Amino acid sequence: MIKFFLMVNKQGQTRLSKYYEHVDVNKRTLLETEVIKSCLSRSNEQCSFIEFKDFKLIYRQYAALFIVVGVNDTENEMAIYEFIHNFVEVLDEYFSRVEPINELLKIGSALEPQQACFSPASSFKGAVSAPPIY
Amino acid sequence: MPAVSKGDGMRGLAVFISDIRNCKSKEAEIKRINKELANIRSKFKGDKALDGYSKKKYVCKLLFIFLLGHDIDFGHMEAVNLLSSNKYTEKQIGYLFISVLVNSNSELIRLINNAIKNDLASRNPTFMCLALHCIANVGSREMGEAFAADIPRILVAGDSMDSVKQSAALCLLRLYKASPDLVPMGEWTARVVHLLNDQHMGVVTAAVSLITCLCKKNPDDFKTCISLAVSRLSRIVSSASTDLQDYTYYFVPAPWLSVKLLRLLQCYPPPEDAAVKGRLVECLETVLNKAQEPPKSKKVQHSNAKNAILFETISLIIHYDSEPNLLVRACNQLGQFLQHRETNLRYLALESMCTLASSEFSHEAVKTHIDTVINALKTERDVSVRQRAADLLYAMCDRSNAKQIVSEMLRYLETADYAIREEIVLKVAILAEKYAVDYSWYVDTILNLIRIAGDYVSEEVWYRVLQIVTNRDDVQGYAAKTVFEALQAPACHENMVKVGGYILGEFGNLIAGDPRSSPPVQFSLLHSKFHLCSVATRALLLSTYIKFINLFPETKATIQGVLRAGSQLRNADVELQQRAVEYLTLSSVASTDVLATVLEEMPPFPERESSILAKLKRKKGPGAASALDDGRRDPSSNDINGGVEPTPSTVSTPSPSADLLGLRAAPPPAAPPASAGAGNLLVDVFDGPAAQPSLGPTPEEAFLSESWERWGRGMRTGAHPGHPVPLPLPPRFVCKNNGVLFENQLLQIGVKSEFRQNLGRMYLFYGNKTSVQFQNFSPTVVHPGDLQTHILSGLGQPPTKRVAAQVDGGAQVQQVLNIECLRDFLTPPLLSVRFRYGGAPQALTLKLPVTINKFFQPTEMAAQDFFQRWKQLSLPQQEAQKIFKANHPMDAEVTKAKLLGFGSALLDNVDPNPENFVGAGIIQTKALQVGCLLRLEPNAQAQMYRLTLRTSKESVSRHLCELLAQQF
Repeated sequence: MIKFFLMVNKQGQTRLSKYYEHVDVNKRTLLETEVIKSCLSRSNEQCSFIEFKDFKLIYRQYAALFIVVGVNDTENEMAIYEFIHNFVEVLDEYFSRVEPINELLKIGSALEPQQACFSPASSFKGAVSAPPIY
Repeated sequence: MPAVSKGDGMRGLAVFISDIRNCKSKEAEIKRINKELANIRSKFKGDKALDGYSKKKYVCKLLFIFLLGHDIDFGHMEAVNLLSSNKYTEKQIGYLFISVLVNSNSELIRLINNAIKNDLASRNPTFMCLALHCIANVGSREMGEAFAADIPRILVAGDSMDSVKQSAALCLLRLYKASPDLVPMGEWTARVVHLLNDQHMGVVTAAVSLITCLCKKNPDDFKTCISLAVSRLSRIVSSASTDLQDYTYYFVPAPWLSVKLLRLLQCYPPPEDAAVKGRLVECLETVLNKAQEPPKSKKVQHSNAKNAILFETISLIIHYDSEPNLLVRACNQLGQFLQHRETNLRYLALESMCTLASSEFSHEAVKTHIDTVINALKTERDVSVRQRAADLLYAMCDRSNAKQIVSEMLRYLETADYAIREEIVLKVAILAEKYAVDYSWYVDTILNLIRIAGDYVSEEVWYRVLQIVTNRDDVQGYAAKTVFEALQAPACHENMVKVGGYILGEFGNLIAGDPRSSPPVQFSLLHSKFHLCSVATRALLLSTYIKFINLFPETKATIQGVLRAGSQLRNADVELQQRAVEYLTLSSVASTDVLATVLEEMPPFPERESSILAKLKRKKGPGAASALDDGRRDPSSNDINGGVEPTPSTVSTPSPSADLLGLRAAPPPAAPPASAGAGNLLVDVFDGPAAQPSLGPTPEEAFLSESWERWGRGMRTGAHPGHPVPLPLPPRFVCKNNGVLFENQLLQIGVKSEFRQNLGRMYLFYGNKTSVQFQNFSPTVVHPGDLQTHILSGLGQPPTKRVAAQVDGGAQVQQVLNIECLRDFLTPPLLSVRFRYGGAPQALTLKLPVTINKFFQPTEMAAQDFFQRWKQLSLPQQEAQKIFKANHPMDAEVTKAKLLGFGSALLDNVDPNPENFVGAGIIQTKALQVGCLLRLEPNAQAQMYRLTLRTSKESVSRHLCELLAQQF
């Protein structure tokens, strides 16, 4: 099961976050910092799965953007790994040019990963929360 | 689905966003935002009614400002207004604002709920979806309370559009996860299962997610999903790569849906229906076959999606664990991945293989990959992959490859990452113990472990080696020799000093014959480490020294010199100082005999589950238990490896080994007490709170008793017999008057008793099973409540005096108790036995076999009398009844004997059914007499009994009923 979905840039700023389990707002910041730290510290040779506390992180890097998904340990790592790519392809298709800030609102309103639903015709709109640009 | 089209792009918003982005400083941004907020506020407050477009634009700006991290305290009303717009874009922005900035303002919630209700009822699929998404995104309990009942209806309604069904399923899933109690189960559940047959793959995907979650709580309600899931899976797996159009991902048909279906099947055991099972096995084989086919696309996405299905298929095969053929095929497939150039695949293959190793069908197949795995451990560049390799080696280890695996893991330990060293150490320690063929190998391995990674060797590990060495005569000499050699290293780890100190103190004499390891050499070797060690280790070494004085009298003068040195006698550490003082005095005051008794070799430790294993389980969490518990593939774990076998014991017969030190009065299965902290090994062995060192002048008796405890305390524990919980009375003593009441390795207590009316006489026999004298032997009777007992001197040598009573080795002493029952009672009196064995205090408390039925006076009476009395005792509280399953074979003669032993008379020809037993008697106490009638009805067919007791006293009825019921 997916616990959260994060888009974070290389500077460690969260660009998009969606939690599927309740996490306190102040704890989210802490969690996101730790998550991106552990992703940034990895090299290309390393696998894309990180055991993190009591769950697993699955991440992919697209240029300066990291997409990180937190899952519990019954989840299929490979399926999530490829789901991330599918998600990015959909973003690419939907907006010819994916740029985090300008499109923030649009992404938020139009495209949000569906909870545990992997259909390309993603239509589950939802909340987006991102910190200030600074 | 309409998107925010480019033409509808709210120019004002775009301008505002680019203004913000152009701001040079935080201050400028805040200024710009404040200006905008003032503008929006005035627009909202203005007299002119805003049109939908403007409202949408301003709400969007507010949303953007909020996302920048500023508080928004107005605009909610306008957003709620947008909800009732008929334009999609306006409604959408309204919902977005509500989802992000919902607050529990009750007035607003009512309005919002109203708008959602309208949209759900609108029959416009787009609006319904928006409303469902809003409910799911907020997902609060309030939302659940308002809508949880409506959503299942929408989900299974025949006329709902696909997209609505999909959203409804996911929305319901969200609400169910947030507050399961709010989602009513009902006839809709059966119809949800049929969504697996839906034409629309999106609906199926959403439905699988929902069912997977729901069926975990109510597996039976959703059982029908198995066959539907299998047939759906089979259709996907066998479809051509383009059949599913949108749901084909790089030539793989519906990969994520397949994964979800496979996961759903893992919630259930293998299908019972042969046809369904056959179809499923066919599917699984197809997936395995496809992995061998040439890829339909060179793209990595294609193979990733295919492998996702493959891994989930293997998980299902492992979950079923019943198809040897599939398990072996899965193993071979994973074996190919072990050498794949993709790190991700290697990682996942190692992980899956770890679970395969625990299946009896594939364990051997996994073992064939040992060289690849060892190679991975050596060459993988990614620590997490190496970790998986180490896990797999641990899982595939058995007697045949233990030596190889342990030595590879030891080699790996030298370069292993610090984060995982402790775990590797634990694993090596466990494997070494579990698969030890000979103990010298085991000792070598553990000492190597300490040498290589001493810092990571936890106490449990070195306690364990000491336990094993102490318990095995055949390895003691070798251990002493090996530690002696290991200590020769100029720099050795403190844990090595501890192990060395302990072992030489116990078994140094075994190597003393060799001039190279003569007593003075041993001592000076240990003492050369003394000053570099921590207080705990030095304390342990002091104990070693005093043991040396006993083992090697020739070292006495040297050691006394060391103890006498100012640095010991006036040590700032009170523990060290006290040990030095006491040991010095002991060595000069006590005679050789006393010394030999006090400092005798440690008795063997009781065998129980290895605490190292327990620690590893704690580290890995409960999920690791399956990988660790390989009992089923190695059922023959022999005496060498007995440590991992559970201690065989039952509550009724106290296990002899459990009470080795006599300090642990509760039966062995009891949970470790709170004082054991983290469940430490030796705390477990010695049990009980640590003794406080007495700082005053130490009387010899206390001194002697403590010196042994010191040994324990050197290893962080001590022992004082506190107030032990009495051992339960073996149930057979309810109906029997003679027998062995208690037995452990030290002591046997036999009992013989006779009762007449309200009086009884009991002979207790205490047998010393050891060859050493028990000192201060004092059994006393404690009588809680009303049962008054007297202890009178009998003919033997009753230890009536509390002091100086001794029981010689192999001897037996007798004690006589006279008992008088004054009133009826529920708990038996307690017998508390305290003595010193080899200086160590022993205490145990047991229940004396005195129960109320011992004072039964059988009464013969005719059927007529019986029924008359039976009727007289017809008040509900006078009757106690119990229906219970037979624990023993139902033999009428045995039952008769037990009832007679219980004390009542057996009345024939009373009950019309000859199978039944009827009894009568009077309980005699000094204060009153209680008449009892009983009836026992066996039902051989059901292997059950019904027992009914009627007495004139409620508590007596119940108590007798309980006592008697446990007999059958």
